[in-house]
Amino acid sequence: MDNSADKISGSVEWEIPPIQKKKTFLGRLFSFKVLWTILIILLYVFTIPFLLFAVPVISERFAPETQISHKDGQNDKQIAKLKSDISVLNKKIAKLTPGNVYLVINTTENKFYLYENKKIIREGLCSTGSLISLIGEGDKKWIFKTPRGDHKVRGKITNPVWHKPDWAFIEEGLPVPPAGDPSRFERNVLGDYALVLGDGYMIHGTLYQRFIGMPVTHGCVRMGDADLDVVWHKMDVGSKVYIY
Amino acid sequence: MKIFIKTLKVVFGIIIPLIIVAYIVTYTSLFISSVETQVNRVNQNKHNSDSMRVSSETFDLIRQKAFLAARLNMSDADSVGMSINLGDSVMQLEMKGVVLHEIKFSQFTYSKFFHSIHPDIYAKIFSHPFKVSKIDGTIVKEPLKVKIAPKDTIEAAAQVSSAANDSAKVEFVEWHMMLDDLILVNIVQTGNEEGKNDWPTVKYRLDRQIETLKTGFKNTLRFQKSDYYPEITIYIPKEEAKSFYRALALKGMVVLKI
Repeated sequence: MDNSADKISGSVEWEIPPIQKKKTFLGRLFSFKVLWTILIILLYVFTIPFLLFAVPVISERFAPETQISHKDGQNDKQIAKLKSDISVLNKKIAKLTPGNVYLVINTTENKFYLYENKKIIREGLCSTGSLISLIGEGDKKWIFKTPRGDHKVRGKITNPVWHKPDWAFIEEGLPVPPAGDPSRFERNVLGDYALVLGDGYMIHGTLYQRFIGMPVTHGCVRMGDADLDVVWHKMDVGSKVYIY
Repeated sequence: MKIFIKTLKVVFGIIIPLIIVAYIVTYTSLFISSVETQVNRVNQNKHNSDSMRVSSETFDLIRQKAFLAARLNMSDADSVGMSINLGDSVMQLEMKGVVLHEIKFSQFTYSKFFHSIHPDIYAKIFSHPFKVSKIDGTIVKEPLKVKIAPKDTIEAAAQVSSAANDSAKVEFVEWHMMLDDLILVNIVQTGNEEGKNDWPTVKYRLDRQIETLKTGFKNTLRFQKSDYYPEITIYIPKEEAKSFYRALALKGMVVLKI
């Protein structure tokens, strides 16, 4: 008798191998441990940006908004009153601007604007204070700055002479001469005209036309010859000069 | 060693993240409530439904009147002031009521907070100029250069030539001002972004952010409401941003129309 079938079935022991789940890429990516690590990294990286930029935006979404309804005819009196108030205020503000000629100087950009009847009639480059703080012997200090504010033309001069102050000598490394010394008076360096603003400050011309548009002065305002000609002839004593 | 690594994992993987999450939740809720508190403080607890009596046309006129009244008030000051009209997208430098400089801007953002102000309260607050309580920027407000007097003419000539060699600095102009400790106005240059990642700009932004985080941290630890300041950000060309920054007085006045 052939009992080979029994032999086979009796001798073979079936071993069931352990089930090995082959993890897919996504499976690995979304395993709890990896996910947790990613979350922690994100938390560390984005906490500060979130606090700085997202929180204010989120918070504003919770700000209550004022509801305004349009109700025709109900506010006629109030509207008329407001319109009349606005017209009065507009007139008051308009009166503050000089109707005649005035000059505006921008010291940051070294530009000037000449106005007449509230309209610009000329604009161009000028030079203003260099913002140099010169320190001399014995802690003497001069700051070359164009004074900001509203000024008035206090005088008009033709062929101005420069009366050189002490700093002009100190800055050049020269000995300071006594007051009234002829070396203190220099002609033909301030152009053909000058407008006096007071406290030693003037609007004048210059020999160094190539520096117009740069902050190179000791506080005065320098203009090119053609611009100075127009400004000097247009402006009178008492005309306003606004420097900012 | 294994215990040490395990402890580190627990500290950095569980404990610190949990503390951070708790901090974020507390900070955010305190910040949200601070916005509401600020709205109520500004509106002086006026109920929003009161505004139903005001039509949008009336509110526009109230805004216009407040703006003009504030400009008129500002004209009493001796220093250069600034007016910002978001409605017409116009920014001006003014002195004694005279407009010295005007610029139109096309890009700006502002906090939703401003929509929450009751018209009556708006008229009250905005018809007076705000005072600048703090101003700071990426550039120096007054760029003073110190020069030691030369000993002789040779040294003087050397100083002149070294000054001539100074090249124009690349700078990115961005500045902000706090108005009456209530409103924050940011001015940022548009166009050319050269110098945006240079140290002065990075430092300016870092300083601001560190200050915000420090204050927020202090307040959160004490369970106090955070400081909330509604903001306006205006984008203008570089030279304009520079001119406005340098012209505005340190404690100058600013008029706003939202």
